[in-house]
Amino acid sequence: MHRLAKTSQLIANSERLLAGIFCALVFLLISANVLVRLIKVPIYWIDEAAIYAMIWMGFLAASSAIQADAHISVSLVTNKLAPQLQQLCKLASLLIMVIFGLCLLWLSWTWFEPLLLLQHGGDIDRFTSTELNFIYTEPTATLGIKKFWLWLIMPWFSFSLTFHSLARFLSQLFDPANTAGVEH
Amino acid sequence: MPIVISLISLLMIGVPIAFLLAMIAILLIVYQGDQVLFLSFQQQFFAGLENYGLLALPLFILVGELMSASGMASRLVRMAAALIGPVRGGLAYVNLISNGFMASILGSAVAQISLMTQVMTPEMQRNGYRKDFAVSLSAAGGLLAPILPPSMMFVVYGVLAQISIGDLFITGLVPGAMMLLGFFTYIAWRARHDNFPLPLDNISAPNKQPSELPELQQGQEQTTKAGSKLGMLRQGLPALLIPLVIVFSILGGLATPTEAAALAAIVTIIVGKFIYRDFDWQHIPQAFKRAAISSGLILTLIGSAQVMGFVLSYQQIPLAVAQWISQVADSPLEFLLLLNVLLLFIGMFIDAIAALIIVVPILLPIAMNHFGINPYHFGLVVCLNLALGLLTPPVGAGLFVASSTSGESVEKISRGVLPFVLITVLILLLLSVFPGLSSMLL
Repeated sequence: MHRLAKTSQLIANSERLLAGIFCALVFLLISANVLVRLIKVPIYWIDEAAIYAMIWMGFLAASSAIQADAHISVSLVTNKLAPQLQQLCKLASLLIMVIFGLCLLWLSWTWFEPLLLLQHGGDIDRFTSTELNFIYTEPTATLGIKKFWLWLIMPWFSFSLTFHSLARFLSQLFDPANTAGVEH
Repeated sequence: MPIVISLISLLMIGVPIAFLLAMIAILLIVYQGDQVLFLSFQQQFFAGLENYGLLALPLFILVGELMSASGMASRLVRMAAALIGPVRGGLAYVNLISNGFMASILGSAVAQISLMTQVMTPEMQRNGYRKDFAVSLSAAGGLLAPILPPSMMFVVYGVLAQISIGDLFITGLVPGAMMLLGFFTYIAWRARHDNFPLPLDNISAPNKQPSELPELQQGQEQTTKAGSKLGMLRQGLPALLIPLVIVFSILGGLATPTEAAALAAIVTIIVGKFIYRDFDWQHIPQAFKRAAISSGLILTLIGSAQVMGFVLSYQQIPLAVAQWISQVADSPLEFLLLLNVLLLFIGMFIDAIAALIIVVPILLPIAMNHFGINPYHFGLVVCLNLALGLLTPPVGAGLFVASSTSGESVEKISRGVLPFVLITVLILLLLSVFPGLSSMLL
């Protein structure tokens, strides 16, 4: 149990660090955009790069916030309940998060269809024409890479959300005294 | 109906609001048997954030983080105090004026409430105000953020409605001034009625971190003579560079509102480091991390709302709502009044930006095509109305932020902000009846 919570914390710390780096990247890209426009050397891919950096930042931060119990939720009702009922509500909400995370994982799986891609020997053209799934062929507008590289944050987010929620659910179930939000 | 019951149940047991709408979207898909929507569910979640305008969100939050690290917020408070002078209830006015300054810098009500509650509550308590009033006033000041430029809600609305964000900012000036005036009038009445204290002649020196503020509450010898009024004004002036940079870089065509936020962050660092000399380079990594986390929570909510909007559109629910509204309302005024009631209700349960994303694509075409309402005026009414949701239970993010940063109960703050909410509702009604109030500066 302890190991699961520790792993969750380790993952969340890394996610927070990465989210901070992506935030810095957004800041640098947008500032650079003003500068390069001023000196009349516009770089056309900056805006798109900044948008994807922001999205990666957002999803990494959001999943790490589950581990830290930093998401906003309504506590008007639960705060008025007896401690046992409060504990029950907490467990129920975390269990729902685990189920939601598993749904997202399944949706990522059916979107990327990694097994089918492997069955086609990793041949993207054959996979696309046979399965009529265009995920691996869609391009980005200006970055010059395929969009699925950027979409990979979704499976990670789904996994991380499930993992952090499960770690907190089990901690809450077996060790409720030590499951207050972890500082971040 | 089962979906509404699920929504309320999930909300009440404490499921994070950011994921609530995505969960409801999954339930709606299963309930209606539209499994085909699952194929693009994740893609929609991602696509909801692929928007240039949203880049302003982390950048303005970053400005707030950098401001709190450089002691700039406290200096603005001191400057506002110097401007107000020895008036009964002076610090209450200072709170509102400082909130006005902050609103013109931050753009995010939640960031503003978090910062101002930390800065103003200890000051007001030391000056003899009740804590619940100080916290409520700081939270109510947050209502100015969605109206005074640069407003995050206007940015999101401008993106959704595909209209000029700069013009939207201008539209917010008159209603913002009306709100300030309304709040001032209420404070003046309370100051006489409850015999509010005169401001002390010593206001705490600027603090490097708001986290150091609780020490001031303990009445230790941390209060220093603030120096002359002129000194307080002079100290606050460099901080005013930030709103000036934002406004002039946008109006001068040098930067978009998003880029203006990045420029404001650079100016904050320069002023903090080289003029105030309170800023340490070590603050920067922490500011990025904090800005990432705060904006990540809101971005997930927006992505979640996008999925919900996608499912609702597929099931033609917006169309049904639109048809119902256009049948019930006969005139633009009736439509706006009905809209206000609907939005006040929605705003009580859904976060303002998420509600904006759900509501605007449905109602804006009706407002423009059926009733000939100007999109700028419509945007103002919708944003002001949904902003009220920040301070109304059960999902008022502003209430929770004020509560968590001050330790005051949500119930007490809810009661305290009620007069301010009512004043805002009154202004909302005035704007609905007299649309010219919003467009007079355009």
